[in-house]
Order: sequence, then structure tokens, then C-alpha cells
Amino acid sequence: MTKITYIQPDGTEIDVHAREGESVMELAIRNNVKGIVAECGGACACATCHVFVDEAFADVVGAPGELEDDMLDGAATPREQTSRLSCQIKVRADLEGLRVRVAPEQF
Amino acid sequence: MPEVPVADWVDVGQLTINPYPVYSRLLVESPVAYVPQLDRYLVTSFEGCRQIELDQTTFSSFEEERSSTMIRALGRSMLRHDDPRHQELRAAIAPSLRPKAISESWNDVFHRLADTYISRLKAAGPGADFFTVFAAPYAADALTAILGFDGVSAETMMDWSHTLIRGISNVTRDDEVWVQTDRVRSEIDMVLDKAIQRVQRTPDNSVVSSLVHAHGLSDEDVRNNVRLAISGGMNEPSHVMTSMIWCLTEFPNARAKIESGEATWSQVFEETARFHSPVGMYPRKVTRETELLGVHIPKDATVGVVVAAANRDPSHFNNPDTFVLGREEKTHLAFGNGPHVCAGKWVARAMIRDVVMPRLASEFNALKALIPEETRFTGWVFRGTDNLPVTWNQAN
Repeated sequence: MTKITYIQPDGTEIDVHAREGESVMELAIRNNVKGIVAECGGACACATCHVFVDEAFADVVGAPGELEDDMLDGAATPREQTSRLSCQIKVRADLEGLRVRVAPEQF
Repeated sequence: MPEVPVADWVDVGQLTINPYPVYSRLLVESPVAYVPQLDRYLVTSFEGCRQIELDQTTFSSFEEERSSTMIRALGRSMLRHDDPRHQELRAAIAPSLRPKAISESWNDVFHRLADTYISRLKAAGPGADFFTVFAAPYAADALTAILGFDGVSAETMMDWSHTLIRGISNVTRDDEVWVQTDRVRSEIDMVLDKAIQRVQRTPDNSVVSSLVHAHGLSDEDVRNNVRLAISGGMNEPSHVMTSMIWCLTEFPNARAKIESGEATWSQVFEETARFHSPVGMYPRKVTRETELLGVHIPKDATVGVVVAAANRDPSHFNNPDTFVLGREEKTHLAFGNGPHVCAGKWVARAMIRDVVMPRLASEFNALKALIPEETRFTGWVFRGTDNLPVTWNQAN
């Protein structure tokens, strides 16, 4: 089980344990992590699961794909260097300890 | 086994006039209930509607062709497929409706149309009908541009859209409605043929171009999904624009907040979509015996996902029947949820929230509904008003 930490805009940290292959979005929804809306259920069609990946993990998580990149341009909170749509980040063992900040607005 | 709630008191006539009192009662008494007059299970709670969208295997969009008025009217589009085929078709249309296409192509169109229709509204003068003079033709022309059609008047696009919707709603299987649907399909095909040829030579950001250049779509797929876009991409925006003007007249507190800058157009847009959801209900077919919020639903039942009701669910929204800007609860279901969430969502927001409303606010002084108390909203599956006389202060 891989540990993922979500950091809320107010600084609260939530640690959860992920199953291999589920997305960082699915993990959040399953654990009722506030602020991840996921309107489209993971189809990369709504940009309401926006997170900022901690700098230390940016390389191992990687850059957004083309469609995801386009969707991030339309995200409610302006995108940052390490912005990703959490539905597009699949949990893997090498993401152990991943920290992501939940975007303050998804609308 | 607990009894299935049966809401035999629900009357379709009443729903069409004003569904909200019906929704209030269902939300309290039986948020999942079998409604005999409709022969379907209506799901009105926010939680129920969301759960349905999380399980497209049980709650399928597939529909058999022979029993589907939508398929008879439009052909089988992405809206009547489940994943993976749905996702393939959705991915095919997506490039034309995304933020990048909007900033590259559609934003300019929205402003150009605002120039045109603001002039027309000014020329028509105070007392003009906002829906007929501005909202309906604006939305029609915007759709024409986004589709990639040339030389189609607003009147023609409105005729096409309304006729296809009549076909989709043709539950009594009236033959005359099919005659008109087929007429419109031929007319669309003639224009679409030319558009297809054009985009094959020169790709662009249009819906036709995205569909034509996508992998794995047949000619029939292209046409079915163009028809879907025609039926779905015009009435809702025109209804929301009109409703926003009405809401800001009817609710002076909200008006004061937007005028002072305390509230944003985004808040007005989302709250209007929640309060007067332009799409009220859409169906799903139950593929296996299941249970939803403790209610047993048999295989082959039809479920109505009543998002307009979910948007007034007191378990999810504080003071749900009050128009409130800047709500805590930001999520609403006016654009649906899950894989079939509205593909036109970005376009609708860019058009209305980012262009139309700010432009109207800057070019009209105190634009408002003339007689808001006389405005008639109708419908429940689709709901809106087709008539809104407006007034404004003219400079001397």
C-alpha cells in the first residue's frame, strides 16, 4: 500500500493509503478528501480534480499529457508549474510518500 | 423486503407547469420512487443522482434502437453508448469544445455575436423580448460557428434544433413528427456534406473537423454526433442567459451583489444553472436487478435522473429554494456528472459567463425583466422561458 498525503488550502494534511493502479483522484473520493470534485468521474473532461504536486515528486509523477494539459488551462484555480489533474495520476510503488496540494477552487 | 415507494400522486401536467413543488415532496418522502404515470423510477436526491453516474454498468445509456425516440431522431450518438465506445466518441468531439479551442477560435466568435445582437437589442428598444431578439438567435449562431457550418441562418438552426428535440420527445410516435425530423436530417446533410469536404482539405477547431479527423468514426458516427450537438447545444444556453436576467430582476439582493462587485458572473451563472436547471431529467436503463438508497429496482427498469431536483436537495444545499450567490456548496448537477458530463460545459461558461453577461452589463444601463412576475417558465425534462420582455435606462 502506497502512502499519499493531501494538503488542504488551510494546511490540514490527510494521509491515505492507496491501492496499486487507482488514481490519486479515486483515492481521494474513496477517502472523502474534501476539495476533489471529479465531476466527470475520471474521464479528463472536467478539470475539477486539480492538484499541485510537491516539487520533490514532480519528476517522478511526470508532466501532464496533451489532453490533460489543455484541460488544466481551463482549471478554476490558475495552474502552477506542477499542476496535474489527479484522475490522470495512477498510483505506483515509486510514488510512496507523494504529497499533493488540493487546489483551492475547482469551479 | 421493504415496499418500493410508489409516487402515484405525481402528475405529468403539473411537472410541465412547475415541477419544483413535486420535487420538494419527492425529496422528503421518496427520493427514489416508482412513478406510474411515467412508468419509471424518478431519482431526485443529490446522492442518488451521483451514485447512478458512478455505475454506468448498472445504469446504462445504451437503449435498444427500436424503443428509442432519441435514436430514431438522431441516430445512435455518444449519448446512447456506454464506455468504451462512448469514450471514443467523446474523445472525438472534445478537441472542438475545450479551453484551447475556445481561446483560439470561439472567444472571438462570442464577442462578434455580442456586437451584432447587442445592436439588435438596442434597436428594438426597451420592451423588446430578450429571448427572441437576443438569446435564441445568439445561441443559434454560436452553435453554427462551433459546428463549422457556413451560411446557415439563426432561424434555420433554431428550426433544426427544435424539430430534432420534438423527435427525441416523440413518445406518442406521432408520424408527422418523424416526417419533420426526416426533412431536417436531409437539410442538415446537405450543409454537412459541404462542411465535411471543407475540413478534409483544411482542418480547424470546429465540431465537424474534430469528428471527421478522429480515428475510428464512421460517416454515420459523424452525422449522428453532429445531430446530437444541434439538438443539445442551443436551447440550454439560450434558456440560461434568459434565466440569469430574470433571476437578477426577481432577486434584488443578488443584483446588488453583482453590481457592487461582491459577487462574480461565475457565481450568477452557476447559481442560475442550479436554480433553474435547463436540463431537468435524463434517463438510464437498469441492466440488472439493483438497489439504490435502499430501494429495490428491477432489471430493465427505466430510471429518471432528475438533476433539477437534485439541485434543490435540502440534504446537500442550505436553503435550496433560495437564489443565493456565493454558496458554500459549489457542486451542482446541471451539467450532469460522470462520463456523460456535458461536453459543452466549457463553451457554455465561456459564452455566457465570460462574454455575454459582462458585455450586456457594460453596454446596457440597468438591464432587467420588465414584468418578471408574468414570466412563464415551462417544461420539466427541459425547462425555460421563451419570452422575456426587458427594459433598460437609455441615455438622453
